[in-house]
Amino acid sequence: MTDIPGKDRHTASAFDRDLSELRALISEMGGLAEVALDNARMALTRGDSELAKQVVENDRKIDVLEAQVGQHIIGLIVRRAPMADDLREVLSAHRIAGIVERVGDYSKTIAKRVPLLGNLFQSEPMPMVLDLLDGVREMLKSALDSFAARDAEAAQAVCSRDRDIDELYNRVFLALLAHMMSEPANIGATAHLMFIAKSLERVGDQATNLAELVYFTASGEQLPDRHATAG
Amino acid sequence: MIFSDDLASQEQAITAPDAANVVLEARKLDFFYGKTQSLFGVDLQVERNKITALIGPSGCGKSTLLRALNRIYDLYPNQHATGRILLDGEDMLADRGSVARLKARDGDGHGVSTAMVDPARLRARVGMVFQKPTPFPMSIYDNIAFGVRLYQSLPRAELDEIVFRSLRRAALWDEVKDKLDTSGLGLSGGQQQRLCVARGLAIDPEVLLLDEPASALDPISTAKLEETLTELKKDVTIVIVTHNLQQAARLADHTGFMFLGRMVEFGPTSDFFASPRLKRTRDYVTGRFG
Repeated sequence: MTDIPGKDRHTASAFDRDLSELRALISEMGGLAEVALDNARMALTRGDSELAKQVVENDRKIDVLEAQVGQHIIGLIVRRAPMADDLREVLSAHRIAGIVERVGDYSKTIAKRVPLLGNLFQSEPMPMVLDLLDGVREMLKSALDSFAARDAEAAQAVCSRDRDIDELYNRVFLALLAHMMSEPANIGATAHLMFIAKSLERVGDQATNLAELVYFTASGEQLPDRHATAG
Repeated sequence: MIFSDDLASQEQAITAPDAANVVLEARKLDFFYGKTQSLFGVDLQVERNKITALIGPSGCGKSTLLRALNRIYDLYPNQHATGRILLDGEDMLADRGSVARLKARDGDGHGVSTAMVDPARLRARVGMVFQKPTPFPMSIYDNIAFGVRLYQSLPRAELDEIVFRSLRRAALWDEVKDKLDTSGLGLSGGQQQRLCVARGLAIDPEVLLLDEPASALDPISTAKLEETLTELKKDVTIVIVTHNLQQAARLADHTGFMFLGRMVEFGPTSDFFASPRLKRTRDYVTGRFG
C-alpha cells in the first residue's frame, strides 16, 4: 500500500512501501506532539495537574516512535542506497523525527511546570502566553501538513511566520517581567511561566526547522538564512 | 525537485569540463550497426587525469560510445561512425570513408583531413579493458610484454622494468611477483582483470577505457580494482562504463547519463547523484525507470 502517485513509483515497490511507512511513522509522531501541546494548553488554562501528569507520561510514546523511525531509516539506507531526492527525504526524515521528539519534550516541560504556577492562571499575562501557544501550535500544524503533502510553498509560508512569533515572545517576556515587578510575591511562579513562554518560542523555532527541511527535501535547495532568533 | 518535465526526448543538461583540460572528445557522433543508428549526435568531453563514468539503461549506447573512442569497432564489418573523435585535439576519425560521411551529413568537413590515422596506434594511446577478463593464454610476464613487443624491441632488463611497473600500477605485483612465469589463466577473476589493466598500462596509454570492468568480480576484487583506478587517474585518464550506480558515484569525477543513443545529462558526479537536473536522470538513479 503506497500513497505515491504512479509516475513517481520506484520499480521496486518495496522501496515505496518503505518510504510510505517512514512518512506514516513521522505523521503519527507529529499527531502525538500536537495532542501533547493541546493538552498542555488545556492544563494551563484550567490549572489541571492531573492532565499535566498525563502529558508527561504520554511523551514516552513519542520517544518510542522516534526510535522506530531511526531503525527504519537504517534499514532503508542499507537496503536501498537512496539517491537524489530519496536520499534527501530519508536524511530529512531522520532530522524531522528528532525535531518532533523535541517538540514533545517541550510540551512535557510545560506540563511539568503547571503545578508550580500557583494562581497565575487568572493573571494578566496569561492570555498573552496562550496566544503565543496558539501561534506556535498553528505553525506546528502547518509544518506537519506541509511535510505530509511534501509542499515546498506551504513550508516556506511557515518559515515566514517565525518572525511574528519571535516578536510575540518578546512582548510576552516584557509583560512577565512587568508582572514580576508588580507582584513580587509571585516571582517564583512567574519565572516558571516565563520558562513556559520560552519553551513555546522554542516550539516555534522547531516548527520552522521542520518546514525548512520539508522545503529542502522537495526542492533540493536551502531557504535563505532566517533572522537571528529572539534572546 | 522542481523538474521541468522533458518536453522533447532531445532535452539535455550538459556541464562539460573546462575545454583546456579535455584530452579525448567525441563531437556530434553518430554510430551505425549496418543501417541501424545507435548513437545520435553524441558529445562527450573527457577531462585529463579524471575518471568519467557513463551510465544508462541497457541499449542506451554507452558501450557503443566507449568502443567508438578507440575505434575498436573498426575490427567488425558494417559498423561505422560519423562525426569527430579528437585525441589531444587531433582527429582520429580521419579515414576517407569517415570524412566523406561527415561531409555528406554536415555539408562541411570541419577541417578534418584524411590523414590516415593508424587505428592500432590510436589503441596504443587509448587502451581498453573489457567486462570479461581476457588474459592471453600465456605467462603473466608475457601477457604484459606481448603488447610492448609489438611496438618495440627492448632489452630484457627494460622489459622487466615495464612488467614490474605495470603490475605495480595495477596493484597486482605483490600477488604475482613469485609466479610471473605461470599462466595468466591460473589467476582468480579479480586478479585476471587487474592483469588486463596492467597489460593495458604497459604501453603507457593516455586514456584507459573500461567496459563494466567489475561486473564479474566479487566485492573485494571490485574494491581493489576501484582503488587501483583511483590511484591510476593521477597519470592516466579513465573512462568507465558501469551498471553500478554506487560505483559511478564512488569513482567518477564526471558522470554522463545516456538514453536511447543520446547523451542526456553530464556533469560533476557530486551534483549528478545528489541533485540530477533532469527528471529522466533522476528517475534512473533513484530506480524509478521502467
